[in-house]
Amino acid sequence: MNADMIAPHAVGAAGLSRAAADAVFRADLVAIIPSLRAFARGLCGNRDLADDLAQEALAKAWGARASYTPGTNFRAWIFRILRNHFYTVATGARRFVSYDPEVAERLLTTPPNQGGELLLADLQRGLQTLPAQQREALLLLESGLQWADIADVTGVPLGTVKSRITRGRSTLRRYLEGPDDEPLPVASGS
Amino acid sequence: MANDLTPPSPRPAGRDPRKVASDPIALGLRRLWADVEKEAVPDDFLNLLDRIDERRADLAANPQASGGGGGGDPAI
Repeated sequence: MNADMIAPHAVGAAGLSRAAADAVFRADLVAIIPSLRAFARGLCGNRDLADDLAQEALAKAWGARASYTPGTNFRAWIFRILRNHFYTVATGARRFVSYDPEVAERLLTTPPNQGGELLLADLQRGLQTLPAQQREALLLLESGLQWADIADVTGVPLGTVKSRITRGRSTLRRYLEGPDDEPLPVASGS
Repeated sequence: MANDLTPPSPRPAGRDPRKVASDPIALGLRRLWADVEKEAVPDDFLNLLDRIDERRADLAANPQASGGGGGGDPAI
């Protein structure tokens, strides 16, 4: 683990009074909000729903603050809360965008903007064609987490993380390059 | 949306920056992430934390009302 990935105050929080520890924890929550919003936005692809998700994760993190071990990776800890909540909500109420093979197939056969330049809008659209497990792995990697931290957040072995990232990148690359003569295959589920 | 895929601010950890610099997908994903991080945080978030603060103050005034940390780890 990298020391700079630990919440700024977390290391010193041990041994504080309950009130002081809570205040430190609150400051760390404030600091992580922008990253939490970014992760949620990437996961569900919708600004408003993502902010709902991030707020719910914040509240859950506050409720679970006693389970956080100061000195461990705060970023990974709260990302895990958010992604677990995302899957709970997405599979339950279907409020959020979830992987739909038919939608993915349509997107994959729709050419991205032509002209040789990668547009962020294309990338964002391509990201939503991926199964959520691949999308989250790519997002977490580019958020700065290490492989092992991603495995911890997502609860799968390191090899599975690497496989998801490889497959996700491959699908994204094909999407961004545009359709070939034959329709692109739809990504598999994990 | 802008085509600018110059690397966003350095990340605290993660992949080798030299590899990322030549990888348009990595650059794009980092830019998407960084763009959201740069947005102003909506008031709703701070209001939520204010409510948490109020709850914390209530608990400090009346420790018996505390649930002892809020019910464990929701991530599990």
